[in-house]
Amino acid sequence: MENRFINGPAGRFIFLAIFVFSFALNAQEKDSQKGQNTGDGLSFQIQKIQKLYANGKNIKNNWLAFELIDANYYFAASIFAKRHLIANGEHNDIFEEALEKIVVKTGVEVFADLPEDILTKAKGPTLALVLGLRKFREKRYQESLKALEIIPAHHRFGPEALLISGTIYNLQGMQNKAIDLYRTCHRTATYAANKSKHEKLERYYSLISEFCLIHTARMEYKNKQYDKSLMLYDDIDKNSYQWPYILLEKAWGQYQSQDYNRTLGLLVTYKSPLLDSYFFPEAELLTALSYFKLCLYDDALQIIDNYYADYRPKSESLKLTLAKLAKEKNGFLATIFKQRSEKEDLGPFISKLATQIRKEVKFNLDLLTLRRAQDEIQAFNSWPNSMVKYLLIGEIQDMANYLEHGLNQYVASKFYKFINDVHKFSYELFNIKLEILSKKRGLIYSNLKLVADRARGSEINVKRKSTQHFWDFRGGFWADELGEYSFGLKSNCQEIGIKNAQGDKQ
Amino acid sequence: MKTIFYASLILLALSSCFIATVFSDEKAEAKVNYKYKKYERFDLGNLEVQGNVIAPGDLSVKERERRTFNRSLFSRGNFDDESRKDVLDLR
Repeated sequence: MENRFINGPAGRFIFLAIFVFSFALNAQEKDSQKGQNTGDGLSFQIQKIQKLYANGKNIKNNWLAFELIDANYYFAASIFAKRHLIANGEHNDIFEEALEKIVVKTGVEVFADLPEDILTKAKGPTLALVLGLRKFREKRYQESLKALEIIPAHHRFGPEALLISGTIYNLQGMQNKAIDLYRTCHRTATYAANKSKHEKLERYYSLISEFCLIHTARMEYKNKQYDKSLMLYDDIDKNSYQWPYILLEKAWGQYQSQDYNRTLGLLVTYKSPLLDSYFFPEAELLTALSYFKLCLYDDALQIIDNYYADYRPKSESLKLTLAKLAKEKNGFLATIFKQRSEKEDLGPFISKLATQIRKEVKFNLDLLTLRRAQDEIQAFNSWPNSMVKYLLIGEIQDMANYLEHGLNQYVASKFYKFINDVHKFSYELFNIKLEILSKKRGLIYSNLKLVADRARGSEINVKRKSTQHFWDFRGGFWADELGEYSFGLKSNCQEIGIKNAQGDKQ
Repeated sequence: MKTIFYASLILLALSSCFIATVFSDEKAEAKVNYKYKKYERFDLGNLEVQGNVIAPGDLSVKERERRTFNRSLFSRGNFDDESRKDVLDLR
C-alpha cells in the first residue's frame, strides 16, 4: 500500500512539493545568512536578532552572538560575546568556537577592552591568546607564558602561541627552550598551511612558519654560529614576503663570517628595480663597512659621501612633510592611498615608503579588518530603526575609529623610524669616515701605502661553499639571480713601503 | 667762680689741642708712600737648596710604536628587536 502511494502520481507530487519547498527554504536561509533584505520584508535573521534584543533584561547575549556570527556580522557578535563573558565568565565549547571565529575575522583588537580578570577567569585558547599577546606587548613575559601554555600545539592558534612563547625564551636567553618551541612551531604551522583551504589562512600559517625559521636563524647569529644561521636563512623561499627583509640579515651573517664580497653582493640586490621600494639606511652602512674591511677606503668614502648627499637632505625634507601630516586627522594613513604623483609631490621617500608599507602583512590585515567593520556599519544602516541597530552602529563605529587610528599610528611609526634610522646610521657612517682618515694618516706617518689604489673584481676572489653554485644565468629568468650575487674584490689590506725618488724602498 | 671759668677755658684749650694733634697724625699716616725696587735680579743658578736628591738624575723615554685608537664601529649583535616586532605585527 505504502509503496503504491509513493510510486504513484500522488507520491511523485509530494516529492516534487517537498523538493520545491526545501529549495525555497534553502534560498531563504542563504539570504538570511547574508543578513540582507529579501523583497519587501526583513530577513528572518534580522527579525530574530531584533526580537532577542527586545527581551529587555532577559537578553541572551550568547544567543545574539551566535545569530550575528551566522549572519556574518563578526564585529557586532563581538559586542554580545564580551557582554556574555563579563556576565558569565566561564563558557562552553560551542561559545569557544564562536570566539575563535570572531578573532579570526576581526583580530584580537575587538577584545582589547576586556578587563584582565575576565580574560584570566574565562578559560579557553582564544582568550588565552588575547591575554598572552597583551602581556607580551607589556613585556610581562612570565605572565604571557602562563597564559599561552593552555593553548595546545595543534589548536588553530597553536602555531602562533608557540611563536610567541619561543620568542619570549629567545629574548630571555633561554636558547634550548626557544629552539624546541620554534621547531614545533615551524612543523605545525607548515602542516596547517598545507591543510588550509582558504588562501588567507594559508598565508597566515606560512608567515608563522617562516617567522619561526627566521627567529631560529637569528638565534644562531646571536650565538655567533654564522654558518648555521645562513643555512637556515636559505630555507626561506624567494617568493616570501619576508625575503627582501632577510637579505640584510643574511648580509650581516656573511659580514660576520668575513665574506665581504658576498655581503656586498647581497646588498647590491636592493638596487634591483624589483626591490626599488626596499631601501634601508642600514644597508648603506653595511656596504661602507664591507669596503672598509677590504681596505677599499675610497669606495667606502664614496658610499658615505653619497649617503650624506642623498639621504640626509631628503630626510630633513621628509621630516617637514611629516610635521604637516601630523596636524591632519589620520593624515599618515591618507597618504598611503594617494596617487603616486601626489605622493611624489608630498616629498622624497614618501612614495617608496608607502609602497613598502602597503606590502606589509600587518598593514594589509588591519586594513582588511577596518574595511570589514565599515561594511558592517553600512549593512546596519539599512536596517529599520531600532535600539539594537543604533547600539551596533555606535559600538562598531568606535571600533572602526580605534582601528583607523591604530593604522594611522602604524604608518606614522614607519615614517619616523625611517628618519631616525637615517640619523642613527649617519652618525655611524661618520665614525667610519673618521676611522678611514685615521688609517690613511697612519699610512702616511709610517711611509707606507696600500697594495693597490683600486681593486678590480675577479672570479678567483669569490668564496664558495658546497651549497653555493656559480650561476652564469644564461637563458635563465633574470629575477632568479636576485640574492645570489657576489663581488669578486681582492682585499687591499696589504701595506707596502713607498719608494723614494731613487727607487729605493724606505 | 672766675677760677672755675679759667680752669674750664684751659681744659677746652687743651682738649682742642689734643684733637688737632690726633687728626694731624692720621693725615700724616695716610700720606706714607711705599717704594719698591724698580729692578731686582735673581740668579737661580746661584741658589742653593739643601736636601737629598731622590729622583734619577737622567730622564729616559722608552721607545714604542705610535698608538692608534680604534673606534668601535657599528656591529649587529642580534636581531631581538626585529623578532619582537614580528610577533606584534603578526596581527
